[in-house]
Amino acid sequence: MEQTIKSASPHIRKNISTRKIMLDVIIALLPALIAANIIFGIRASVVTIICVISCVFFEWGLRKFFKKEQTIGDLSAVVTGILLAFNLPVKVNLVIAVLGCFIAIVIVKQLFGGIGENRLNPAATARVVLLLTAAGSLSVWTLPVVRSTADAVSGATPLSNPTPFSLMELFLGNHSGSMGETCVAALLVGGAYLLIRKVINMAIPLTYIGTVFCFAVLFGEDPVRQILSGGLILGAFFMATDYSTSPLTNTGKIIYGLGLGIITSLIRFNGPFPEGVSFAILIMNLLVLPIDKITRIKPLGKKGKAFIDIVKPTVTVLIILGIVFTVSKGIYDYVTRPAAEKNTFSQEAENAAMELLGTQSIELTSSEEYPTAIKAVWLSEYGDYAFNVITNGFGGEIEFVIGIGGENILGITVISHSETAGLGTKALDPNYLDQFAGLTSPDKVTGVDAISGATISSEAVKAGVNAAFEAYEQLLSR
Amino acid sequence: MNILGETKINGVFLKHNKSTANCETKEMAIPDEVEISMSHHIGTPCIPMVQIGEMVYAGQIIGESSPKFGPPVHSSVSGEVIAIRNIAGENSVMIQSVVIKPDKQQTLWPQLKKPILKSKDDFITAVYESGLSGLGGAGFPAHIKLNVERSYIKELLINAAECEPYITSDYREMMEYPEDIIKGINLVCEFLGIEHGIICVENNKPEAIDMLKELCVNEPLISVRSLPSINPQGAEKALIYSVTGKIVPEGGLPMDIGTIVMNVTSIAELYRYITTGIPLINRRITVDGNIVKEPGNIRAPIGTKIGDIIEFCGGLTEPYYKLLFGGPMMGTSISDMGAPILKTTNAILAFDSHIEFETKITACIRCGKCISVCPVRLMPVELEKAHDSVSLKELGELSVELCIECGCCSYICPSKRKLLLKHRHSKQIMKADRQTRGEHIGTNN
Repeated sequence: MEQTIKSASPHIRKNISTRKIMLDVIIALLPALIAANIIFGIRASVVTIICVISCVFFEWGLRKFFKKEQTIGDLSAVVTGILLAFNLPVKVNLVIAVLGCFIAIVIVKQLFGGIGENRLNPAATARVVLLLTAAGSLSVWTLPVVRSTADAVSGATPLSNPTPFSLMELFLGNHSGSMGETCVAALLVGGAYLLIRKVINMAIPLTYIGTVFCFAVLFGEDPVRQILSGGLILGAFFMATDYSTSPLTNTGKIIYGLGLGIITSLIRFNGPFPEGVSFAILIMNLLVLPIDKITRIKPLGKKGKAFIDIVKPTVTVLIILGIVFTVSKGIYDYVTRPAAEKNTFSQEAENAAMELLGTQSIELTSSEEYPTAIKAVWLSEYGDYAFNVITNGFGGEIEFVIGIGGENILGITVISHSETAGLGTKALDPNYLDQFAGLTSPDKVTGVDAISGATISSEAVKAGVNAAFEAYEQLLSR
Repeated sequence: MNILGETKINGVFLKHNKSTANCETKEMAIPDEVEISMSHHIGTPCIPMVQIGEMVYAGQIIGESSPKFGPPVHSSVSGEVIAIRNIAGENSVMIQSVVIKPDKQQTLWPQLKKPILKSKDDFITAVYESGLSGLGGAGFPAHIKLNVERSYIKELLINAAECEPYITSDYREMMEYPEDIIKGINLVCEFLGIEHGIICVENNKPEAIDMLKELCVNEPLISVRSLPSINPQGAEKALIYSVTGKIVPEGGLPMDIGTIVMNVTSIAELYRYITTGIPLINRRITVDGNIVKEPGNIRAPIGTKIGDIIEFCGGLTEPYYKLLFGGPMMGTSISDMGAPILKTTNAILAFDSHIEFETKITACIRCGKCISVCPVRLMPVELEKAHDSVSLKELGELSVELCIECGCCSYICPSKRKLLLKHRHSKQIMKADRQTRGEHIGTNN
C-alpha cells in the first residue's frame, strides 16, 4: 500500500526540537554540577537528582491528573530540577527541596498552562518562595569541602561576609554559597556552550552582567568582585535567558537585561538582602509582556511609525549615558583614591619591631613597591628588617610584625586581630608562631601545618609571612 | 548595509542538494497528450479560444484573458483539441484547460513572425504576445511588469539566485545560454531606458558567476553581483532589499521604488522570442529528489504531464512519499501523476519518507527563532496567537499581509508548529474582510 503525503509548504523542516534544545542546556549545566560535587561533596549530586526526579514526577503526575498530553519528554522539567537544585545550599533539607520542586512545576509552570505559557521563571520563583518562608533551612551555608573540617563549619558567603575572598577563589568557587552558583569558571564554560549552540545569544547575559558591573562602580564597590559573587553568572546565563519568561526581540532582551542589572544592584547595594538575582528575575518576569509590546520589530515595508522607532534610540542613549557615567566615576575614584596607607603604623607596631630586632635604633625605609600586605618596613642597625604586615583572616584583618634577618625569621608579634576565640586564635598563639622562627624560605613557611579548626587563620598568617619574605628578597636584591 | 548598498537578509541556510547542476538540458520527446491550463499567472485566467475537434499549430494562441491582464496562452504542440476541462475554481472564477493530442509534427503557426520593434509600445506588445509570465515561479505577467515610463526605473535586477534546494534550472540557463541573457538585458534596458542591469547570483554557483563576469567585461550596462546562499534570497522583496537596500512599501510593487526584477530564464526567453517570433511553448524543468532514477534537467512542452516527464527520467525507484512542483520550501505538493506542468513550473521533485523527521506538534516555547529568520521582519509567534484568537486588528498591526510565504518560520520552529499555514489563512481572512467592507488595497498576492 503506497503511502503518500499531500501537505502544505514548507516541505522540509530543520532537525531541531524542544527536546534537543533542553538537552543542550543540560549539557551546559554539567560542568557546574561536577564543580559542585568537587567543592561541596557528593551530596550535591544527591540533591540535584532528587530535584530532577521530583520535578519530572510532579509534571507527569499533574498532567495525568488533568488528562493532558505528557510533556516530560521535552526535558524541560529536568532543566528546572537542575536549576532549582543549583539555587539551594548543599545541606538543604530534602523535604524543602522537594517542596521547591512542587512550587516550581505545579504552581508556577503547569497551572499556568505548561511550557511556554508560564510568565514566571519556575526555579527562581520557587527559590524566592522558599527563601521567604523557610529561610532558616536555606541559610545553612556550608563551607566548601576543601576548606572545612570534619564537622562542616558554617561560613558566610562572599556577599554577606565583609572579609574578601581572593578573585581566584571567587572565580573557581572555592567558598560557601548555593550549589551551582559558586564556580564561575564552570558556569562560563556552560555559557559558552549555549552561545556556540545558538541556544542563547549575548543580549541578556552581556547587558545584565554589564549593568551590575557599572552600578558597582557607581556605588563604589569592586565591580569585578561583584560580578564574580553570588548567583549573577548562573542567573544571567541560565535563568534570565529562559525562553518563555524573557522577551522575544533583541531590543526587548536588552531592556530586560538592563532592568535585571538595575534591580540586582539596588538590592545588593541599597537593600536589606545580600543577593538580588532571584528577586530581580521575578520582578522583570512580570514586565516581559509590556516589554514585548513596545519592542515589536517593524516589518519591512510597513508604513508609519512604530513604537520601536522611539524605543531603540532611547535605549541606546541610556546605555551610552550609563557607560559614560560609569567610566567617569571610575576615573574619578581612581584619581582621588586615598594615598597609599603606607607608613601609618601604630606605636605598638614600632615597639614590637624594636623588640624583635633587638635594638631601639631602627629607621623606617620607603616602601612603595612592596606587596600590599606590607604597611611599613624598618631597618635595624644590624642590617635586619622588620615588617608591619596586614593579612585577611577569618573574622577580619590580622596585623602583626615580623622580623627577618640573615635570611632567618627572627620572630612574629601579633598586634591586632578579630579571630574567633578558641578557634582562630590558636593560630595566633605564641606556640604556633614560634614554629616560624628560624625558617629561611617561603617553602619552609608553606610547610608549616595549619591548625585544625583554624585553617583560615593559619593560612592568613602564612600568607602574611610569605609577603614579608617577598619584600625581604626585594630589599636584599637592591 | 555595506558600501555597495547590500544588506544582509534574514533567512535560513539550507543544504543545497544541487546534484543536477552539471546535467545538461535534455530535450524530451513530444508526449502523447498535453493539457494546457488557462492560468499560468496571477489574476484572472484566460478563456479558451479553441473548440473541441479543432486542429491547432504549435505556437497558436489557444487562450486569451479578458480584460487583457494575463498574457495569452499558446499551444505547445501541433495536434487536435480533444477536450476542454474545468480544473479548479475559487468563488466564481473557473480555471479551464485545453487538452491536445499532439500529431508529433510540431508544425509552427503560420501567423508567427519575428516582432518589429520601433518603439517602447512595440516592445511591450511584443512582450505580451510572447506569452511570458515570470518563469521563476510567481507568474507575474511580464508585459505589465515592463510597462513603465522610459527612464523611470533605476535598475533592472536579474534574479538568478535560485535559492531553493535541488533546483538547477536557472543555473543551466546561465551555463548554456549566457549570451541570450546578456542580450536580453540589453534589449530591456534599451527600450525602457534603464541604466543598470545587475545579474544577482548566489555564491553557491561560482562557475556561473565567473562566466557571466567575463562576458560582462565589455558590457557597460551590466554587472554581476554575488549574494549569500541564504533562503529566500531569490524572493523579490528580499532580493531588492539585499542588493539595493531599498524596501518595497506595503501594498506596493518594485516599480514604485524604481526597480524591476526579472527571472534570468524569463529574460533569455524574451530575447529568444524577439529574435525568432516563437512564443513560450516549452521550458526547462529540474527533475530530482532522492527516488528519481535519472535526475536531470529536461526541456518539456508546456502542459506535459508529470508522469510523462518522470518516465522520461527513468521513472521512480519506489512509490513516492512526496511529489512536489517547485522547491521544498515554497513548492506545492501534488498527488496526481497526471497533473500538467505550467509556464511557472521550474522543478518536479519526488521524495521518499526520509525527507521528514518528526511531525509531532508541541507547545510554542517562545524561543523567537521564527522572528530571527523572517526576511520581511514579521513576528510569526505573535501572528500565530493573533490567528488563533481571530483578531483582525492584531493581524493588521502585525502586517500579516506582508508575508511572502517563504516558509522559513515553519522550517525553523522547534515545535513544528504550522506557522505558514496559519499566515496564509490569516491573509485570506483579511482579504475577505476587506472585500466585505468594500475596501481594496493592492497586495502582492
